[in-house]
Amino acid sequence: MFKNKITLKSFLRLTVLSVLFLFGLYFIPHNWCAREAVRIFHNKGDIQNRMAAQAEILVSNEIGRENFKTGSDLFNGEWLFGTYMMSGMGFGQMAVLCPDRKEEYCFAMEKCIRQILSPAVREFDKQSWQSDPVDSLNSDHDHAAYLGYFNLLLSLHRLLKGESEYSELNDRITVALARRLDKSPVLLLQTYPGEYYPVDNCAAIASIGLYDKATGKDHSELLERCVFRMKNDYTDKKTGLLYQCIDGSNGEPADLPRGSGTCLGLYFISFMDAEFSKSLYLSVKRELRGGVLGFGGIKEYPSSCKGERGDIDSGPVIFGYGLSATGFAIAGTRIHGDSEMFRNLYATAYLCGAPHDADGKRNFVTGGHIGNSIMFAMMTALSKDEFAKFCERSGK
Amino acid sequence: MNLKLPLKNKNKRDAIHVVVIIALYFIIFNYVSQKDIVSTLLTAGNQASTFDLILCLFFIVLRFFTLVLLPGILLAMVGSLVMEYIVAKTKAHEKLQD
Repeated sequence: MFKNKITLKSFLRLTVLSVLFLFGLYFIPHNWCAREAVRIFHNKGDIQNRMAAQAEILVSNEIGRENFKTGSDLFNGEWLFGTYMMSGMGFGQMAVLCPDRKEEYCFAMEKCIRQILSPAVREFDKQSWQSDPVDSLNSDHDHAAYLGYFNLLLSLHRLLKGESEYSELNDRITVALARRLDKSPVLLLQTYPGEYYPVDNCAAIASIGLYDKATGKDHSELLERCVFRMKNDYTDKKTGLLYQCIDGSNGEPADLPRGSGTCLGLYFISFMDAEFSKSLYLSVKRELRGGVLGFGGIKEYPSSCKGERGDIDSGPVIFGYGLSATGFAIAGTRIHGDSEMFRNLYATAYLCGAPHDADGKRNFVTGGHIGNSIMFAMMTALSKDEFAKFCERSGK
Repeated sequence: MNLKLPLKNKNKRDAIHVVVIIALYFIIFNYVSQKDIVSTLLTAGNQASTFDLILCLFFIVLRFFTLVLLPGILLAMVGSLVMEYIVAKTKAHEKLQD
């Protein structure tokens, strides 16, 4: 009846080969992709230095909005700003990780600060607010998109270097942010007119907390109120994740709790409140963690919420897993000492990012400028113990 | 017993395919990393040229194939060769005994 009879021998052969294939599929790819993970997690070897070398080339070259083609002029401007901001954070973290090269990395940070202060980089925020973020510090225009993030970089620079030519600007921005937060009925700053994002406020609040560490000034009363509000009103009670967007008129959520905002928010807030950062991280791990074949991934939406497709914040969402959430969560694993999850996420970052090493530099081939700078900041994020020790050593 | 197992043409062909895929992957990897065209595709999408678009998609597919599927395929190929060797060795042994 059958032309080719299935003999016991051929069946056994097929079974053995299938088992070997599945064994190879399950054990080799993620282990191969994560082979550098332990070294990076423990800051050994020179991979982070190679990423720093790549970032130095990036910030030394003149790049503009035309290098980003998101299809929106505003987002191109945001990505240009984000590239310098994240690179600066990476350099600052490298200065803590490699104290012997602190001067070099602080100098690279200053390059980023100068670029961020250039009119071309300020333009995206200026267009949205119809006022310049730095020239209008006495006004009531919040400018959280620019000032919240930029001030975090300035405060980190001050913590590392002490007084510098940027100290006065750091003072002025901090005063403006604190005043605007205090005046806000929802204790949130507007990213753009009428738009309130908790993640951007995490950066602004953390920048004030870090400023206090660096200078000894005290905004603790305001910060406590902000964090309390963030924990109670802007964090979803069911999942423990940050809402992506808030309606400024009543303080109610205007979007779902999401992975991209929470993962980035917990990174920022770790600079001032490690415990809150940890509670967000544990929520991410509980609600959003997933993966396949040993490759880790972070979902953009918790399973209890019916998520939509991705947007500019989430990046591509593939089978529910968000590109941004997965990348940003790497920082959380380092901050909170979760080597197992770091390994899983690093395997994914390696597979999808396609790192290419040449001339002492590491370039994530699929990342582009913004992807490389984000990976640099996330892969050098300081564990809470490292950061606490550094602050203790420098008497902050 | 001195047994020489000649490689079958099919096995040779499979091995050549694997080598070609790996070589092709590294050539394209170097090309796209130097030209930074994958990130252009991912961020610019429709603004990339058709050639870049095809090359990038091919690179992404090839990377996933090479890193995720190929190890399992190679392991199964090696397993297949080992099984053939064992069968040939058993047959030769049986012949000697006869």
